Formats: sequence, C-alpha cells, structure tokens
Amino acid sequence: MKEYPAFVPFHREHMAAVFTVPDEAPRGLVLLVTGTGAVRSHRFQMWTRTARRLADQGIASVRLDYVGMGDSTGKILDWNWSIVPQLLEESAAVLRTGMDVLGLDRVAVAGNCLGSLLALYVAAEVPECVGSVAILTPLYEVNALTDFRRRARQWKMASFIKSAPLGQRLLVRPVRRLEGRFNPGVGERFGLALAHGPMLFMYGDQDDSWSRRVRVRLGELLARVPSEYRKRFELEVIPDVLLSGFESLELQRHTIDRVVGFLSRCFDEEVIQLPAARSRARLDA
Amino acid sequence: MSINETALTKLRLFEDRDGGFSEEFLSPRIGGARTLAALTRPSGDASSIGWVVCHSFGLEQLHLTRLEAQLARALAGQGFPVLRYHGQGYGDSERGMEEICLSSHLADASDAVDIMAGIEGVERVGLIGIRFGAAVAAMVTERRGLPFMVLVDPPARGSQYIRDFLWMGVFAKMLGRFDGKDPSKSLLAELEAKGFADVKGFRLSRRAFDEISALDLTKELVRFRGAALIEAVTRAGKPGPSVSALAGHLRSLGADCSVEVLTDKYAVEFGQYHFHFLEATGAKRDIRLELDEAILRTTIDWCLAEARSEVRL
Repeated sequence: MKEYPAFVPFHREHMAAVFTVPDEAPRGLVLLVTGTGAVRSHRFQMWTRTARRLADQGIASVRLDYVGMGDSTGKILDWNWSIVPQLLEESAAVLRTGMDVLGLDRVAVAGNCLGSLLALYVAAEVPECVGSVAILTPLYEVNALTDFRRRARQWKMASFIKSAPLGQRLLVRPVRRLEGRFNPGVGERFGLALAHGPMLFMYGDQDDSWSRRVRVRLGELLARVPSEYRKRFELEVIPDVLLSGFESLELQRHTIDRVVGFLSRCFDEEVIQLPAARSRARLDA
Repeated sequence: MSINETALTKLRLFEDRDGGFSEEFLSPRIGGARTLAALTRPSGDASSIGWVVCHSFGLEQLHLTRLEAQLARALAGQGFPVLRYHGQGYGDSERGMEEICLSSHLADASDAVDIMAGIEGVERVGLIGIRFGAAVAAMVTERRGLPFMVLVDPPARGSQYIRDFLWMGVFAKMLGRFDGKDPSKSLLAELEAKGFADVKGFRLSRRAFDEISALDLTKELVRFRGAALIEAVTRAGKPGPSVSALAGHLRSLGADCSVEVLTDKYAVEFGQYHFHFLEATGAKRDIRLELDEAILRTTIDWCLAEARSEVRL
C-alpha cells in the first residue's frame, strides 16, 4: 500500500487530500467524506484506518479536507444544508483528480452526517459510482428542536413521557410536528443512487438523525424505487448506541468492518450489473 | 492500472503567491514510523529561524489543525520556514491510537526538530505548541537546548489536563446509560484492568495516563534561558495562576519570557469542537475565528520581533 498526499486545486484554493493505493491494480476508488468540522482522517483516524483496510481489499481511496478545514486553504464560516452543493463540487473535484491520476473508472463513496448527504449525491450524480455508504444521514433538517431533543432524550422523565399515551398525544407528537423539514434532495437522489449500485444507511438508535419517522420515510422512499433495485438497499440501526462521533472503540471497529465489507462487495463483478447510463434512463422513464 | 506518479508528485506542492509562501507535503519517518508532514516555506528570502509546530493531544489535534496550518502559512509569509507533522497515532500517521503517550509526542517532536534543522538555511529551530502541544514544545525545547518557544494556552500541570480529559469521558457516560456506579472510577478501573480506557472513543493507555499525570512544566524546565512567549487564552482578561507561575519560573531560570493575554468568551472551549448551532439561521457557526486571528497576530508579531532582535545581536 502507498499513500500519496496532495493539494488538489479548486478555484483559488487548494484542498488537502490523501490517496491510499493498494500495491496491486486497484478494483476501484472510494471517496471518503466527513461531516461538519472534521478533517480528512476523521475522528480517531476513522477514515485513515478505513482507507488502509480498503487497500487490503484491493481498493484505492481518497480522503479530503473541505475548503477552510484542516490543511486545505480558504475559510468557511457557517455550515448548513445550503453549502452541500459547494461541498459536492469540492468532493467531485477531488474524486475526478483521483480517477485521472489513478486511471480508474469505478468509484464508490462513504460519508457521515453532512458527508452522508454528499455520499448520496455523489452516488446519484456520478455515473461511475457503483455503491455508497451513508452514515447518520439527516433526512430532516437540523433545527433548535433537534438540539432540545438531544438534551431531553437524556432526561429520566423522557422515557416515562414517551411511554404514556397522554404524553405521546400532548407532547411527543406535537414536538415531532415541529421538527425540521424533510430534505427534498434526499428524496430526489435516493432512487438514482440505488440505480447505480448498492447503498448502506447506518444509524445508532440513540442518534438525533434516527427516529421512527425516519424509518417510515425510508420505507416510502424505497417503495418508489423500481423493485429490482430495492434489494440493493441495506439499513443498519445499531441498538442502544449513539453512532454520532464514533465515540467508542467497539463502534469504530464495527463501523470500519461494515463500511469496508460493504464497499468491497460493491466492486465485485457480479454486483456491478447494470451500466449506470442504462439504469438512469430506466428511472427517468 | 496506470498511476500517474508525475502528476501525484506535482500535487504534493502548491504555491500561494499572494500569501508569499509555498507548501509541500512530506512523508518522513517520525517517531519510528512513516507519517505525513507539511513544510511551508517563504517564497522570498527566508529567515534562519525555522519553526516546528507540535500538535495537541487526542481530539484537540483534530480541532486545532486548521489554526496550525494558518499559523504556518502566515509565518512563512513573513519569512519563516515552518514544519507541521502528524505524530504517531494521529491523522495520516502509520501507527494507531495505541501508540499515543507523552513519550511518543516528545519523540515525534524531537524527530521533527531534526528535519527542520536539516532544511537548507535553517540555523536555529524554535517550537510552537498549542494546548498539550505547548507542553510538548516546552519539554523538547528544554531537552534539545533550543532557543525559542511559543506556548499557546499551555497546561502547566499534566494532572489537571488528564483529569479534565477523563471527565470528558465521565460526562459522556453520564449522558448515556447511568448504571449507578461512579463513572470516573469505572474509567480508572478500566485503565488498571486492561491497560487502557475507552474515553469517548479515544484509546487512553495506562502509560499515557501515568506520564501525563506526572507532567509538571515548572519541574521539567530547569535550564532554558532563551526567549519564550506564553499566550494565555482566557475569559477573564488576565492570565490564570498556572500561566503566571510558569512565566515566573521561566524568568527565574533567566529566560526572556513574555506573556500575552487573549480574551475570548469561548476560552474554556479552546481546543474542542468549535461549531455552535445558530437558532436564527439553522447553521453551525465557527466560534473560534476571532480567537484564531488573535493567536496568529500575536505569534507572528513576537516571532518577527525575535528575528529582528537576533539580527541586531
């Protein structure tokens, strides 16, 4: 395995990235993207470790610092959904550079939190993408209530209120109605991503981004996908944990194993069945 | 497969003409294994003083990366070569978290000093460290007999630093399922039993815990007589007792020690995750931009002043 650090030009800025390349001819290239505030190696070297495990499976990867983060140049003040297109452009620039310099035409993508939206968008919009992993995908907008829910979930009273029918009616349901709007970008791209290849969604059942409402919405999204693509979707909800932040050694191990195993299968010849262009045409039809 | 090695080699370096510097990724051996480093050099004439930036501990390393990169580029823009690196167990280094302890930080920094000393035109090396990196910078400066150090928000005593670090894990456990046991004791018991503890996902080894707990900069620094800048990051507008004690200690050794106070309302969060949710816009805002600017200004002014006084001497 070899690692090549790089500064990828992007308009007036330079994005820091590291390409990890197996010794043998790679089967493909994986783009690893992070959420708000993380650098390319991610917390606890999560993406560095993932990259090296992928190289053991004969897969190259690239991890990057967004503009204004880590070793990249530039500045960024606010993070919200409106910057996703900009981050997508940045990630696509690094991905294209990787495909060019490594001579590869099959890619996959993995990202968490805000990066999971990027993963979904790349999976939908990059024709060469054969698979994706989206960790803690925020199907609904984060707002002040999300922050409140995060704190309220820790209260002992919370489980009592949730279990009582009156509590459900007077508090839980009205609060849910005030939660953030559904991100239409997810709905638009979900089917397109699945048309390109398998897709894994991961959550911890204690995470803010996970709820029964999310499960229902994912079911609705899946129902709209042509039946032959549905089995490409995998959902893993890890019980009794907060996956956010990867804040346990065991969770880190599990996540890396799962991501590497899943993405490795995406590059298997028998999994890559439909040319991307054909799948997109079918969906459009 | 045809890897375009020429293109990859070219991508290791970029030049910022407006900023007056170039930056290159290196892949040196530091701390006994491969890692990634960034050497930032002035585009024009270079000072004979080269700076090495020692990073902090645990997740602070990650949260301070951008500030360290900006600092390196701003210093290079003023004529100083600067080296940054990932110590073993961090970022893109070859080894994992199990390697991390105070000794590993010191060995990494010392190797980085050797690299900087080998850069053409560099005659003296100074160290810069932020938070725990400041303690590392101070110890390596002392041990290697270096003439300059810049310590940003240094933890004078490791025992307090590691206690705060453990409490972060305790707090996380309390937010999760509280099983009625004292979580701080369970973390210490985990350290005893397994030789490491899982502190919010960070693998804290027994060795790291012991070494950092025993760290006391006023005892470690016994012969430094060079020039030091301590930047105290505070909410209160005055340096804390540990900074004052450290500065007093350095002066008692014969060092030329300056203290600059940087007041910031988020001072207690310095080194941690620095994006706060804004209800008005629904965005996460970086709360550290002003403080980072102040650190850049203060550090550069001092480094330039030291370089000028060197020239006069």
